[in-house]
Amino acid sequence: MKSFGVRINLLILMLVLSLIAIAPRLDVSGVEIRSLDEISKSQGLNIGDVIKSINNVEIETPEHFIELLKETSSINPVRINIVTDKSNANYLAQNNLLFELENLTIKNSKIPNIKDGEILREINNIKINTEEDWEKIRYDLLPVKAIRIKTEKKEYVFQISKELEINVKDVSRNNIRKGLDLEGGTRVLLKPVGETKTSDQDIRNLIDVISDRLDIYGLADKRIRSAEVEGDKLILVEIAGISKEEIEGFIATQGKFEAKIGNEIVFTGGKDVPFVCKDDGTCSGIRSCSAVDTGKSGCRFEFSIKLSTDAAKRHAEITKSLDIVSSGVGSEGYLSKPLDLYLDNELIDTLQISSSLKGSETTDILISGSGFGDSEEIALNDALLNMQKLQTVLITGSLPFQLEVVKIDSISPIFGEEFLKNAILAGAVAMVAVLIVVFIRYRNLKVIIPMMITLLSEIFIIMGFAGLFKWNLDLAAIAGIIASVGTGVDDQIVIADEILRGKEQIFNWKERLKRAFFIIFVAYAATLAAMLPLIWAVAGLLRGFAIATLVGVSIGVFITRPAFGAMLERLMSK
Amino acid sequence: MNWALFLEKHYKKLFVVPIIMLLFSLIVVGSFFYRTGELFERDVSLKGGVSATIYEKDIDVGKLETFLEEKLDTDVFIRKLGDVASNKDIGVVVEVGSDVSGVIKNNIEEATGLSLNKENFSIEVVSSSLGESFYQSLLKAVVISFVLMAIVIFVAFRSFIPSAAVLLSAFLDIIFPLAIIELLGIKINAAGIAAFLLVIGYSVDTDILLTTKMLKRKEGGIYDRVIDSAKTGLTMTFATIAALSIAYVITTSFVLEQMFLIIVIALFVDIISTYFMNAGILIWYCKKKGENEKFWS
Repeated sequence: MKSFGVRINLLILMLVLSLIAIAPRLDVSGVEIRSLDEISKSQGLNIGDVIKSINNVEIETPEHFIELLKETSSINPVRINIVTDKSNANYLAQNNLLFELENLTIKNSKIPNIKDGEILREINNIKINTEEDWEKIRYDLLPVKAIRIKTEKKEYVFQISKELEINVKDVSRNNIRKGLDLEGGTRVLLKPVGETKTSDQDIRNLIDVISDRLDIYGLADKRIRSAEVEGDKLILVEIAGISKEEIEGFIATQGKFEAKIGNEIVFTGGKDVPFVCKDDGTCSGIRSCSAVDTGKSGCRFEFSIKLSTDAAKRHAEITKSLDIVSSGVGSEGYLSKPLDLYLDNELIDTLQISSSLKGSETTDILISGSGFGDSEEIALNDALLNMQKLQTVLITGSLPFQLEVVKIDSISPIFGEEFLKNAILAGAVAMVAVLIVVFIRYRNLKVIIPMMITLLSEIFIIMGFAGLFKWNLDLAAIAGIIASVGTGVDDQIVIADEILRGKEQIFNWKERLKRAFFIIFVAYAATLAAMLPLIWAVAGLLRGFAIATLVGVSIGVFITRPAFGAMLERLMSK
Repeated sequence: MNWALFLEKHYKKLFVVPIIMLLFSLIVVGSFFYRTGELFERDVSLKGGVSATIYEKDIDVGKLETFLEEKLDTDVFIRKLGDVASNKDIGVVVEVGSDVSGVIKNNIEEATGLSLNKENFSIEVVSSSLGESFYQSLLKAVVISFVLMAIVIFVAFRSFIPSAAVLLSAFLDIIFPLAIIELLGIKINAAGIAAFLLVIGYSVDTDILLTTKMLKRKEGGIYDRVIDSAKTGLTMTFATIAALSIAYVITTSFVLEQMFLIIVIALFVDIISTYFMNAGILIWYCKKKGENEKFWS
């Protein structure tokens, strides 16, 4: 076999390595999981799994998946009408009936108006006279659905009592990750505000807490890093597939949770609370909804938490000195001061403390709050969102700093798709234009063809790098690739000129190439010098551009352009 | 026509063109600075404010603008996003120089009757303090780039006048496009400044080629060497101009559009700064050096 020489062999090697790094996969179907809720996570589904079908319906696109998931898993809360021997009530239930039954007697009631000890007579207009009557209908009261999700690896069949929240994207056909600009999503630049100057350690702590919060929120497709602009330390958060409204308030709230009795703090979020019940209907959920005002609805949520022993001791200490006041109605009284819950210094709820808890080192606490809206549905969603926020801050603790949103970008995925197609078209046409100009000058296909091969190889190897180092290919990176290919054209013309002229004159090609490469190396050094400052400027927002240019130009100078020289030498000597 | 002969006779006269251009751009940029206290007009990304993009066809720009100006009580700039190649209407970009991020979405919905969601709506919000920081940090980047590039050139050529000529040429390549951009009333964004950095890179390519041929080669007379390097250099420049002007026409990204526009203008300027100015300086320098050599030997 004939050898192509070191320079061309090196190019071929790099092209093969790039192909491996990009790893194109043909024949893919289904959608890839980008984020998951607790229910599907507990069933064994993982981020990155490829879902093929739901309830045996093949999934075609992410849009199709969303539609299908909504259709198959949407469960509306149902109205339950309950009549007991003493009273009656009408309430919304989704994954919990809000009471238990023993010998047809109500236990652990969480329904307003219905007290423990009342006897169940009728539910949803069905008379309940015997245990059998109850057994017959009890499992049909709450909405439950079975869902069958099939991934590449296995099939999951499980029961759900509320709508699944699974966020998906197209299965990647190669290792090149698209940046936010091309995929759609939200980018937030946060600045800690505080009296003291933030240290690098502070920023690392902040990043950890934010990252935890997003994890709990089910947003795994995220990138968080520190950034610096003009001496200000900032945090850059990028989350794919999420709109501005969905993330804005949540991410930047400090989440300083305080439970106080009077002015004394009983416990705060984070280390005082080792356990928070979340996504488990038996100890967390919406408990009731009702009309609060004309045209306004309110819903209440509840979830249980466990306190640390330290916090429990504080609770005992503070409640010891409180008086018991009788509520007048029930047998139990309440303590003279309630437990006030504050989130970011705002009172969110007030809980009466049962007199039995006076001076006790209790670790079990039921947290509650509410949500409001113009309709019951909105109020329900608002309450769910508030509950999720509260659970999150109780788990992660508060941020050590208050954060200010200094920049927020939300990018539509439609634009990204259009742009990518457009960029490929522009690149192709621009390349043809270059080749035409070069052809006019040399009128020789022996120059044009190696030039085209070189330009395409340069782009391909840059892509290989992007695949290997898991770069996010965004708008800025595309601009950088265009820029580096532009300098590539310049260098190739210098090489072509030297080699073509070398024919007429006495110098050998080696000498000619050496001369060409002096020019190329000085130009290369000048481009490096011009681009380097950009890596650190603007909080690294233009880093993608600078890196793509630098990598592109380096690949060109060290790999593809020498190979171009070798190709020309060979073609011209024939 | 014998270009070498033409150059020998007229190279001094050619200086007039770059000098006029230099004066012209200094006057434009200087008067802009005098009027506004700024080097150029900055867009939202460098000044702070809101830039919202709506990906919907057939939006009445005039109506939207009047509506928003009245509602927000501030200046609103709206431009259409279009795909020139297919003449497709893609959407509009709304820019407001103050923080109206809380209300702008609803206002646009009210004005257009569209329902905006994360699919058809993009928004960029920059606080004014951050915009200012970005601006400062990018200006610094440009200055540092220029200084680093200057060091590279001085190390490569190791003689003052030819190196200074390269820098002067790069300076003209930056200041003239800046003046044109100001006259066109275009607001410069962060990517636009990055384009000026690229201009530094592209600009010195042809100058390095020219200087190398003039100083390090021996074959042919000095005028022949200028013409020789111009043949190569002009091919380079025209190839890049051809590629970027086409990309400029085709691209739908406003960010890239501005980058391409700045670079294309700069490349045209580069032809003049390299072959009318830098070449002249080098001819003069080589002649002087030649005379000195004769004198000393």
